[in-house]
Formats: sequence, structure tokens, C-alpha cells
Amino acid sequence: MNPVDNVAIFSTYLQHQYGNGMLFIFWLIFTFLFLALIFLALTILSRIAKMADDRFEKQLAALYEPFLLKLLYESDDFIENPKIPHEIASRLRTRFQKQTFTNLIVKLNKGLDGELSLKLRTLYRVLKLEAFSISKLHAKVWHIQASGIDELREMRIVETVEYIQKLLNHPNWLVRSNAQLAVLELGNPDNRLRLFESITFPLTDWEQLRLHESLKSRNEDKINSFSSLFHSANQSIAVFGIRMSSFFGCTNDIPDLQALSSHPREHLREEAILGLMRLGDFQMQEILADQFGLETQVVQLAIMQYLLQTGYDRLSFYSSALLLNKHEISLLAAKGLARFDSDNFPADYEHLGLNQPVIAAILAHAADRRLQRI
Amino acid sequence: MKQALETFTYYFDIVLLVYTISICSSYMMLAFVSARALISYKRENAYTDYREILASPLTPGVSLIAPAYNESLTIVENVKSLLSLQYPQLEIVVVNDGSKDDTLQKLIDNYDLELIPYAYDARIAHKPIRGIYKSKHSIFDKLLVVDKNNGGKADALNSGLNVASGKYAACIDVDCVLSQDALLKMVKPFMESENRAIAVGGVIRIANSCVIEDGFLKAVQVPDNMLARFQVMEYSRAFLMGRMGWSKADGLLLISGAFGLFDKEIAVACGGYDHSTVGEDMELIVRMRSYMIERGEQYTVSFIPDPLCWTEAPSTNKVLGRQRNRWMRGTIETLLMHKRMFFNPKYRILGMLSYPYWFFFEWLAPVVEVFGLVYFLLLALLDLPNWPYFFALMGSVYAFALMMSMAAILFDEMSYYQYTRWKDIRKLIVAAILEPFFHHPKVVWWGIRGNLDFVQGKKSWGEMTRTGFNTQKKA
Repeated sequence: MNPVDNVAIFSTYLQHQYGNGMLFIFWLIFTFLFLALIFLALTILSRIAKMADDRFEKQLAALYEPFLLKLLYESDDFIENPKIPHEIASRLRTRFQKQTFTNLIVKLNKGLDGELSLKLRTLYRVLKLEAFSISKLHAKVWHIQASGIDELREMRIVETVEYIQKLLNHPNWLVRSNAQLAVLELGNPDNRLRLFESITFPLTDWEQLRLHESLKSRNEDKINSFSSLFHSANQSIAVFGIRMSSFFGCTNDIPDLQALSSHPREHLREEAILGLMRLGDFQMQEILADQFGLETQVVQLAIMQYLLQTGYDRLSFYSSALLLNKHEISLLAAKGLARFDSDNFPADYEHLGLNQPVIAAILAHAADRRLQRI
Repeated sequence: MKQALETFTYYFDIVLLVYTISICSSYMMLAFVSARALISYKRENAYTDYREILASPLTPGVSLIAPAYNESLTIVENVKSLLSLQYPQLEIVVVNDGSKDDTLQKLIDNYDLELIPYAYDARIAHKPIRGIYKSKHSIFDKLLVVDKNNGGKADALNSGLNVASGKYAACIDVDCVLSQDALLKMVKPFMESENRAIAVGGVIRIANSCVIEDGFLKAVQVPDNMLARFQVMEYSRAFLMGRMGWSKADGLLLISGAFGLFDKEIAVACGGYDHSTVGEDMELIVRMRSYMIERGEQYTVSFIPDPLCWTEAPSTNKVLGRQRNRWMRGTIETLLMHKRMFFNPKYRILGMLSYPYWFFFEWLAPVVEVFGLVYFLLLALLDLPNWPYFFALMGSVYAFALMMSMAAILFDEMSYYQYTRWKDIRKLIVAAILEPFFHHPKVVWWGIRGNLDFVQGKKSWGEMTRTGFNTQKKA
């Protein structure tokens, strides 16, 4: 008699002896224990799979590494006359095999440039892995699309930029972010910023960081202005443009940034003022000092940072800002005062804090040059 | 009389059954949501190069606040470990909360500290600060030591929040061991969120029997101590199968006090940590969330499954009992402080799901369990129980517990693969089999004690003695 029959007989017995309630509980126990065993089996299988993966990776490395080393460092005419050994090509039939090999050469290509990278990219094309990556763009699952975009970007397949562009507003943020990077890197170098015209989702700080790193790593010298982004209807793109303009030292953008310092949106004013500060522009000192009293606290802080950084020297301005009773602003104002007469600071200004221990403490803090706020 | 008793038992059985089915279904649903969230998180982060954060001018400043009370034996090593964390814009604020031992002197001597004139914005009330210290050496430039009168952990954290200058504040237990990239990983959800992220929590792992070398985790092992091993199971279930799911459902109510990262502006605006509760970590999150909801602002509270923070779990029943008692009192206090949320649709998922879950399944679970036991004993005295049903129900509860623990081991294995030795898997399986018999009854008892102590108005933390990590020092 097999176990299934045993279970069936036992269930019938329970039903007759104790009714349907007991039968239900029995099946509940059975299901829970069965699932517990399944989870246990999956844990063991997962562990075995990890060990097998490690072994498989070592095997692949043993197979592919000599070929790739030869290709990169010995084969002089591979780009003009690419020949792939049969044992390599024949191992790339299944999706799994293609994916494993793609991962390998994409990873290798990350650290390479020039002819070595060109050889790897040629190999990628000759083995039709490019088509494999493109096919992933049409997948229904977001993480496969994201990996396809990433592979095409890493292997610099410029022709695919049009496909990727369609994914710039994908509902999944990672697909969007990977698409942004790919279009930025693979798009027309003379007009890289055009991609931002198509983006409708807000750019998060994380996406901005990735885009900035991408621009930085390519030693971008063809972009000398980001001002085309400043008036984007998408505020996050305008913010990104302002930030990049100052990070890349685009002094051409200073007049536009100056205009933005009185923009109706608080966040844009703040970023524009900080941008001007990073670019070392000091022409706005008087205007911003006058604007200070009318501003929100966030922008006041940006103005104070700007004035300090650009060496604004109106003592009365710092004195009155010190007494505003807004801690961070007062602290910056005190640092401004500290620059006038550092030998006698804070003694010369202690009268400002008459009966105000807070002001006295701020002045003492400002006198200590080691104390930097992060 | 007999008929009345039968009617009572009939309806009471139904209530217990509904309760049991609800609690089990909610655990299973949470586990399901957590599994999906975990897979999604791993896929999304496959493309993350955390080194990019290190070099970017867009990286926000983080102040790490570590309260210390009578930590003389380990404080120097602990601070050394914190100073080596990878993060570009980092400030480490160690708050000496009126230690009775020489914690402060050890810090002064080892880091060559001197008193400085540091002005801070006292937006949150706390016990007076006696002095703020900074090192004379630029290599310890990130370190700021606050010496204050003793006021408890919440008070120390509040003083740290006032002194901190970073946009975000990471509140930690000073004796925890953080992974080197902990802050890089924790700050990412703040940067990638479309809505304002107000708090992020990470998984707390148990470090008993792990090898710690010069403040760094060198080898991960399942604890030898059975009590600590049971807690590994509990933590895996709570973090990987619970909080991950609540985070996905936007209903997370607790970020562990051992390691959490907060939007400092919001934490300060809503008053910082509450001194009047022993569950200050949970209370702060609930208050921050209600603060945002009441102002109609979009926000998120996230949880990441990476094993970032390692802590020593209590290895004796006495110490663990005190901890669980305190956790229960903290839960009750927080729930009562925010009772307006209970089934209040204004608070969305928080009011309609998270709060009721905590109320029924965290606060009341031990009470219901003990009540059920007393009820059963009464029935036994009257010779009323249906014994086959009783054993069958006990069996189903055990099978369910075992299934959830096995799922936790699987989650652990498939997520971050911390325990790489077969031996460790075996130890966890044994713990999963034994836990319902030897550990769970104690947890229920400690929960009941927490309830009783709450009723009696007990407010103390209870001393947390630790045996120390399995440490090795470089030769």
C-alpha cells in the first residue's frame, strides 16, 4: 500500500470518528508540515545550487579565460578579421549560456578602454550577443529589460539608442534610470542633453547621482552649458541642470543662474544661489544681500553660504543676520564676522550678544576654525 | 448552568478560532509580501555601485549618534569601528550619558580630546550638556563627544539630534558592529525615493559566536548558545518575513533602536525621542509618520534587508526576560499614546492595518494565549475538553510555527546567505524544531510580565548585561 492510500484511509477514519472539523485540522497539519519540508528542501537545494554555481563559474573561467586573454593581448587582427573558436561559439546556444558569457565580457569591458574594449565589443557583436541583449528590451519583466539596457550601454551599442529611448518613461524606476544613462552615453555627443526633453518622471537624487557619475567618468568636455535644462517644466531636471552646471564649472551659465536666483520656486532659487557659489561668481553679492530679508529660511541659508564663500564684506549685514535667532544662519553670520578681525574675534563682537548667551556661544563656536558643519 | 457554560464555550471557541486564523493568515500574507519585496530589492540593487556615493557631491551629510552609558570596557574599540565606516560626509556624535565609570576619560585619553566651544540649537529638551569635545588630531576630525548629565537613552539621542549637523541622523547602539558600507546602503533609499523618505531601517543580526576583529565582523556563525540561537530564528522571522513586508505595504511602525537612519529635520520637528516611554524607537516612528500624515505630506519609511548591524543578543533568560518585558511595555505605551490611530481611516494603512495588527497580534497575543491556557485548564477540571481535538489543534499550531521557521531559514539562505557552513543550517533547523517547546512559552511569560509591569506603572529599562563578542585582535 502506498503512502497516499495510507493518508486516504487515515482521513476517512478521522472523518467517521470525529467529523469534518477534525479532518480539516488533519489536512491543515499535513499542509503545514509538507510546506515546512518543502522549505527545508529548497534551503538545501539553494545551498547545493550555490555550490554548483561556484563550480560552474570556475569551469567557465577555465574555458573562457585563455580564449579572452589571447583575444585581448595576442590577437592583432581580431577587429578586422574576427574568428571565434568553435568550442566557444558552440557553447552559446541556450539563454543561460549566452547570459553567463555576456555577464563575463560586460564585466571585463567595464575596466577597459581603447583597442581592448573594441575587441570585446567586436566579440559581443560577432557572437550575436548584441541581438540577445536587444531581445531583452522587449521582455515583459522589468529586471530583464533593465539588464538588457545595461549590457547595451556597457558595450556601447550606439545603434540601439532609439529603442532604449522609448523606455525613458517606463513605470519601473530602474528601467528608467538605466535608460537615462544609456541614452546619455550612447546618444549624439553634440546634443546629449536632448534626452531630458523626453523625461516626464521626476529625477530622484539617486538618478541625478548616477547621471552625474556617468558624465564625470566620460570626461565630458562637449557640454559647456546646461542652461537648456534650467527652464524645464520638470523641476527636478531644472535642478539637475543647475547642479551639473556648477559641478562642471560652466561659467557660461552664470547669467542664467543669476536670473534664476529670483525664480518664483524656492527650490530653484536655492539651487541657483548654491550653483553661483560653486562657480565662484561674486557679482550677485549686493543683490542677494538685499534679497536676504525677504527670503524663506532655506534660501536665506543658501544666500548666507554664497556670501561667505564669495567673501562678501558688509559687516552690518553679518551683524544683523547674527541676531536673527536662526541657529544655522547666525552661525554662518558669526563666521562672516570672524573674517573681519580674526585677531580680536570674538571679543570685538561680544557686545552684540549682550544678555544673550546663545549669541555668545555662537561667536565662540565661529572663532574655532576646526568646527565644520557637514 | 451547564447550558450557559456550553453556550459560553461554544462562542469562546469561535472567538479563539477566528483569532488564530487571523494571526496565522497575517503572518503568511506578510511572509508572501516580504518574499516579493526581497526579490525585488535584490534585483534592483544588482546594478548599484555604492562607491559612486563615496565620490559624489550630491551625497547628503549623515550624523551618526551613539549614546554611551558605562561603556568603559569597549568604548574605545567601538568608536574606532565607527570611525572606519565608509561614508564621505560623516560626523560621529558619541553622547556620554552621565556614565558613572571612566567612559569619558577613556575617550579623552585615547582620542586626545579637548573641550570646545560648540554652539548647538537646543530645539529638543534634554538634560544639560556638560561639555562638547573634539580631538586635537585631524585624523579624528569626524568625532564629536558630547558629555551630559544622565537622562537615559532617549535623552542622550535627543542631545545628539540637537548637536548633529548632518541632514540625516543615524541613531545606533554604540556596542553594535556596523558593516563598513552600512551608511552607503542606508542612505540610498533617501536618495531614490520620489516622496520624502523620513526614516530607513535595516536588519539587525545576532553576533553571538561570530568573530569580531578590531571592531570588524570577520566570520559569521550561528550562536553556540541555544537561547541566542532561538533569537536568530526570531530575528529572521521578524525582519525578513515581517518588517520587509510592512515596508512594502507602507505600514512599517518600528525601526529598531539599534540602527536607524532618520530625516533629522522631521525627527526634530516632531519633538525627538520621547523620554516617557521605554519603547522610544517605535514611538518616534509612529509620531514621525502621524506628523507627516497630519500635514498632508507625501512620505515613505523604508526597510532594507541587507545585514548591516550586528548586535550581541542576551544569552541568559534573566537578561532576555528583562529585554522582552521592556519591549512589551514599550509597545503598549506607544499604542496607547497614539490610540487615535486605531481603525482611523485618516491614517490610511497605518490606522487601518498596522496599528490594529500591533494591537491584536503584538500586544494581545500573549494575553490571549495565556487566557486560552487558563480556559483550557478550567475545562480540564470540569472534564469538558475534547482531547483528540485539543491534541490536533496543538499539532496544527506547532506545524504552523515550524513551517514559518523553515521559511525564515529559506529567506535567510536565499537573501544574504550569511551562514555558509552546513553545520549552521543544521543548528538552525534544530532551533526551529525546539523553539515552540522551549522558547516560546518563556516569550509568552515575559510578554505577560510586561503587561503586568505596565499596569503597575513600571518604567525602568532593566540592566542589560552582556558577555562580550568573540573578539580577536590583530597581532
